[in-house]
Amino acid sequence: MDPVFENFDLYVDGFLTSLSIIVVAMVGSLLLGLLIAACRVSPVPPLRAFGTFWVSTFRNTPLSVVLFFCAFGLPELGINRTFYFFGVLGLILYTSAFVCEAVRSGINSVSAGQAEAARSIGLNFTQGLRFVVLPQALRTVVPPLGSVIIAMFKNSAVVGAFGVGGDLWSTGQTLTSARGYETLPVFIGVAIGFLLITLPAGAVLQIIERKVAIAR
Amino acid sequence: MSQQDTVLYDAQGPKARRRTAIGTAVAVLLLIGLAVVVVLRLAEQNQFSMELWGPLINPGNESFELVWGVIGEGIVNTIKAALIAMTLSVVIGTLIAVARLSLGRFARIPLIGLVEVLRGLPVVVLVYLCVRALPDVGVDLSDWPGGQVFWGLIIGLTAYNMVIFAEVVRAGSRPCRAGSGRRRSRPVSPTGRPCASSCYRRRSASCCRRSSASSWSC
Repeated sequence: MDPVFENFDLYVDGFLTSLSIIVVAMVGSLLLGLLIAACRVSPVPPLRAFGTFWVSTFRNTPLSVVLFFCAFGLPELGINRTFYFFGVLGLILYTSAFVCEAVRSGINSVSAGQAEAARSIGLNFTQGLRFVVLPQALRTVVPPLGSVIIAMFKNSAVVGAFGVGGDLWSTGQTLTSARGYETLPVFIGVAIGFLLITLPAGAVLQIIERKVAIAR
Repeated sequence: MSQQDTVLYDAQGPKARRRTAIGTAVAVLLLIGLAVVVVLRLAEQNQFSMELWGPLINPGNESFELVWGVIGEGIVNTIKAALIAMTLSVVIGTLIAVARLSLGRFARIPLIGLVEVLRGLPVVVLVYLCVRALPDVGVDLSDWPGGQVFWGLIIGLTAYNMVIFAEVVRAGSRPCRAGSGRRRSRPVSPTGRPCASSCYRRRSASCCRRSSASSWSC
C-alpha cells in the first residue's frame, strides 16, 4: 500500500474533487428531475411529450455517450467550458431522467382520492401538486431515489474517465500510467475513496428513510 | 383529450388550448432555430465532410470494411461478455442470497461485508481492477478463449452485478405480508393478539387458527 501513502495528498485532492462533482450533480439532477417529472404529469400536452422525450432519450443512452457528446460535441458548437463543467453537465442530464421516473412513480402511488380532495377544495394543478401530491410522493420515493443518487455517485468515476482530471479515478490513472505504480494498491486506494462516499451515503439514506417514511 | 387519464387536472378549455397552441408554436420555432444554428456551426467546422463520414457510410471507401469489421467484432464480443456475465452473476448472486438467508449470524458477517463493498464500488473501478490487477496477483487468464481483457471484463461485471442480484433475491424472499414472516417465528392473530404458548414452541405457520369471529386458538 506504499503508493497510497506516498501520494496521500493526491488522493485527498481526488477525493475532494469527486465529492464536489457528486454534490453539484446531486443538487442539479434532483432539481432538474423534479422539473421534468412535473412536465410529465402536467396538463399541457406538449410539456408531457417533452418530458417523455427527455426521459426516453437520456435513460436509453449510455452515460459514456452522453458525456462524449457533452465533452466533445458541445465544443464543436462553439460552447467552450472546462471538462469539469461538461462532465457534471452530462451527469446531471443523465441522472435527471432516472430521478424523473422515480418521482413520477411516487406521484402515481399517491391515491387518486388525495388529488380529488385537492381539486375539490379548489386547488389548481400547481397548488395540488405542490401542497398535496408531491409531499406524499417524495416520501414514498426516498428509497428508489436514494438508489438513483448512489448509482450517480458511482457514475462519477466515468466522468473522471472523460478527462475531468484530479478526481479519484484520474488520480488512479495518473499514478498507474504516468508514474508507473502497480495497479492493485493504487486502485485499492481509489476503491477505498469511493467506499468512503457510498457507504456513509447508504447509511444516511436509511436514516432519512426512517425519518420521513409514511405507512400506507 | 378524449380520455381523462389523470385526476390531477381538468381537460383543457378553449382558452388554455389556445395558449398551449401558441406556446407550442413558439417552442417549435425556437427548436428549429436552435437546430439550424447547430447544423450551421457544425458545417462551419467541416463536420459533415465525406472525409470524416466516408469510412462509415461509403461502401467504396478503403476503410469501410475494416471499420465495420471492427464494429461487428465489438458487437459480438459485447454480447458474448454480457451473456456470460449475466449468467454468472444471476447464479452466484442467488447463491450469495441463499447463503446469507440460511447461514448463522457470524457466518453471515463476511458475506454482508462482501456485498456492501462490491455494491459501493463503481463498475469501472471493478472492471479496471480485474483487467489490470488480476495478472499482478498471479491470476493468468490469457490462455482462456478470448484472452485476459475479455475475461477480466466478465469477472468485473460479474462481481458488480452478482451482489445486485443477491440483494434483489433477498428482497424478493422477504415475506410479502407482514404476517407471513412473523408467523414463522411467533404466531400472532391478525388482530395482534398472540396465540397460546404451544404455538411459540411449535413455530408452525398453520397452528394459528380462527375458532370464532373474535377469538384465535391453536
